[in-house]
Amino acid sequence: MIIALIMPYLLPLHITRTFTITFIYAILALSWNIASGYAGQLNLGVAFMFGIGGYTSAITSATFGFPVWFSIVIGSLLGMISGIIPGLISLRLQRSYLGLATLALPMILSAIIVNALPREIAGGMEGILAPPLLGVRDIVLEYYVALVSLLLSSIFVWRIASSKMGLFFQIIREDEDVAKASGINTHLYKVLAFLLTGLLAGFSGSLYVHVVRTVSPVVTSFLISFLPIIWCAIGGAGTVYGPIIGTILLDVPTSLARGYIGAFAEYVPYALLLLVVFIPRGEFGVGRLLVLRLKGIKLEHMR
Amino acid sequence: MKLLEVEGLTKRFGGVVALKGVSFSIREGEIVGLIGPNGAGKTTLARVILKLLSPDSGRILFEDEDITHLKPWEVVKRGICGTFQIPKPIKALPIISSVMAAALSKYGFKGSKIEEVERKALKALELVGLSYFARAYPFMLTYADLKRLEIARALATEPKLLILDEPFAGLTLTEIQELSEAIKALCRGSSRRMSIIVIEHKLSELMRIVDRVIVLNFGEVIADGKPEEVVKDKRVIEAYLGGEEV
Ligand SMILES: Nc1ncnc2c1ncn2[C@@H]1O[C@H](COP(=O)(O)OP(=O)(O)OP(=O)(O)O)[C@@H](O)[C@H]1O
Ligand SMILES: [Mg+2]
Repeated sequence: MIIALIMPYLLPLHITRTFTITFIYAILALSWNIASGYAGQLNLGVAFMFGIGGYTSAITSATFGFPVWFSIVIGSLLGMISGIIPGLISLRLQRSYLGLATLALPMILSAIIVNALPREIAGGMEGILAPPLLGVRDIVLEYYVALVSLLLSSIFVWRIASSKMGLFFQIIREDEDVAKASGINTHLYKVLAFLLTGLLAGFSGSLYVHVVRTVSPVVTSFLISFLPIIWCAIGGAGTVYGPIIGTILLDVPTSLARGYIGAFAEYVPYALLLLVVFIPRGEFGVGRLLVLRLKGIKLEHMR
Repeated sequence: MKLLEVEGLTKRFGGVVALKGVSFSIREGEIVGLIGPNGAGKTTLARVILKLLSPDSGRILFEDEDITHLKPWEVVKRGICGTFQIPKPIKALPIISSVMAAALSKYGFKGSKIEEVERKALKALELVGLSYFARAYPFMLTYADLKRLEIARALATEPKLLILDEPFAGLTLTEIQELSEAIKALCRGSSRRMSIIVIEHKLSELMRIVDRVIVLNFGEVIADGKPEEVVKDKRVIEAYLGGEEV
């Protein structure tokens, strides 16, 4: 924590900026973690909510001239509302079928942005410029905004996780029949999980576009949907610290590597996707697996 | 007074007719055995009453309310809860957590504090003799204890009607005796009058605890009455023919 506070004074600006983006990504990982890590609903399209948040915030501030803080609020809210769509799908489809359906959502979003929205508003393929997060460009201040946002987001997730809602999410994840038989309204709580995922993903997307100062259909890319899953799986999905640790552990090195190995680094995230093969159970994360092993608890016991 | 009334329930799985116009009723405070050979439709009947399955036709009335089209969690709120034939523990959580979830689903945090919900869950575990294991994970429990855990989870919702699907299967004789006593105590001891449906293969295990027996065979009710009358029924004896004793 203290290291995170003084870091901008120790490191060169470009590394500080890398951390800013990583923190924003960590919020995205935290968001994916709610519906999928806690409630167990496979979501392969979190870029849908991230993209809605990003585009909404960029358009609200750049095209309609509202202040950035206000556009971020609107972006987060619209992100939350967009969570209704995968939420309702989760009532009809399960597991891989739900995964496939959610996978399509960011693609549909990008098609709408490019083809259906007027170019003056959404900018088509090239996208539009978004005003900087704090009005002026200030890498160190942006770093602190991202850090505080991540902190608030993790407190938010922690509050959910330790509430009745968090317990119900986990029972639904473990066995939906048991959840129903225990009197849990599984329909309501699955939609709620996706709304909360949408809220945080929209927040993350909104912050992101104002830090990179542009938004284009890239925010709906398949990597934005899949990398959060890898980060959560490595750090431990279904926990609060897991997604944060996983994101920092994986995203910082890959981002920094971009500076040294150049264009080749573009392939690194794809290589990361392969990691998924080696993850025995994403809900646990590598760290927690080690702790369990030390306690003498075998993985088979917990599933 | 009639608590549960089931009229003409039918349930098909493709070509298999698992329930064929099943009708019966359960009175308040009654322990009823539901027996029948393998594949008779006992579990299906329980799942239909709990609304984990929807019937193809027929009606279910609970306290004179038509609950045929309710969702399973609404059925639990009305006061019907059941156990799974094969225990389904929540392996990733300490056992108290899954029992608390069942208690919470009915009461919520509003009005009742988390400590109170925890106390309710502990009480349910105590009723089945598992309070010692409250903080343990399911993998630390024996099969018999997992069956007890199923009952505790159901009890935590404070049901008026409890449906136990083969609570004795896989247990040793002493375990069966202990559990029988616990079930009897549940119904007779408490101030609330709970009704219980106990599903079993054979009547022999149930003889001492039930007031009445319903016999299901190929999805049809073939007998309904006092245990000592049912064992003498010709159709029941036929259904169990082929070596098995009723
Ligand atoms: N989900 C399902 N899909 C298809 N057929 C099913 C399904 N569930 C049950 N059946 C069939 O319905 C019939 C009744 O099954 P059910 O499990 O209700 O019997 P049971 O009396 O509980 O038997 P057991 O004593 O073995 O538990 C059986 O023929 C079974 O194969
Ligand atoms: Mg059965």
